[in-house]
Amino acid sequence: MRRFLRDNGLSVVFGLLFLGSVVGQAFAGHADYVNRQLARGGDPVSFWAYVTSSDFAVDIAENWQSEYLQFFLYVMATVWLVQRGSPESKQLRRIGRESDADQLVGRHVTESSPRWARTGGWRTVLFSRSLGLVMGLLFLSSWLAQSIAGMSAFNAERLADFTDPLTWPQYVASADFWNRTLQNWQSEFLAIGSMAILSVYLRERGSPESKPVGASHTVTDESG
Amino acid sequence: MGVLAVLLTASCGAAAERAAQAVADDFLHALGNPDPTAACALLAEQVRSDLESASGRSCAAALPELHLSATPVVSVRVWGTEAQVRTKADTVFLHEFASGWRITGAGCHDQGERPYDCEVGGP
Repeated sequence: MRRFLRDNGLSVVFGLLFLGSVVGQAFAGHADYVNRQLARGGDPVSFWAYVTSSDFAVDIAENWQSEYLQFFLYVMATVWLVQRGSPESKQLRRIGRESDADQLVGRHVTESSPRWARTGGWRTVLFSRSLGLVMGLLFLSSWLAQSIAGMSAFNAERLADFTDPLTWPQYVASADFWNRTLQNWQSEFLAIGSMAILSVYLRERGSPESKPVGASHTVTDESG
Repeated sequence: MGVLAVLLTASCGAAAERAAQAVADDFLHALGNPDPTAACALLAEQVRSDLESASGRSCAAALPELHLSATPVVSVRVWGTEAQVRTKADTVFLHEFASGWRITGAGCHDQGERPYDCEVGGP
């Protein structure tokens, strides 16, 4: 058990932080939702009714989609774009999909290569794109969920304000949808850009996200 | 996740639409009665109280003078705890309270981008 926790510390700790944050968000969101209902002359709703409501779902989904977009874009952009001096970037000479030798596929597979990397054909092509594909699909499905839950929550507000509800195409063209979307995207892009630049000049001893403390500012693709 | 959201929305929506329409139907039917006490009972408490304050009379005495139309329902839309029921003549708005669906606006007319203008309740 101790060995398992040591070997999987990152996923275990972030899994627990995620669960704790979702539960905290549910309680805070419920209190806020009840306050808004009472202010409109309505009755309090139960905790269960809130966590199964579109209001809770849209708040969850709008953050998920932006996080998965962040990692999807980072995975894809770092194939073609580099940042000289950043440990987040690969070396400038390796821009692009790289050779079979670099990627350990084709004649260069090893005994320990994953089965779909060794098989060749469509399986290897698919496996070679699997991280970007899964991140992209998670982004699109979260964004779709945001649009559906967001429309439901927004239409409830519109009816409470005695205005007509919107259809889904109207909602995805609405200011509410794009305000929710872009306020999350801008923060993700800022965080990625900041990390790429700051990691050129700053160090965190022992972190693989940083270069070694003594490494030159011009050294790219090196972690310590 | 998107599909799940659609299924949840659809399944919850159908039952809520039936419940909201039943209250709207009862309200519209009660408007035709000589004694509209049953219609007053289906108004949200705040709406009934505002009507009585504005008219200086009981809801049952004030409601008939508004000459609300009691025409058949043509469509029902429910989102969360809010509903909009369109009739041949105008529109009724409802909110779901702990005690059930109640009328928050009746005799409402479309004002384009601005909120509906209602004879009873409304914005």
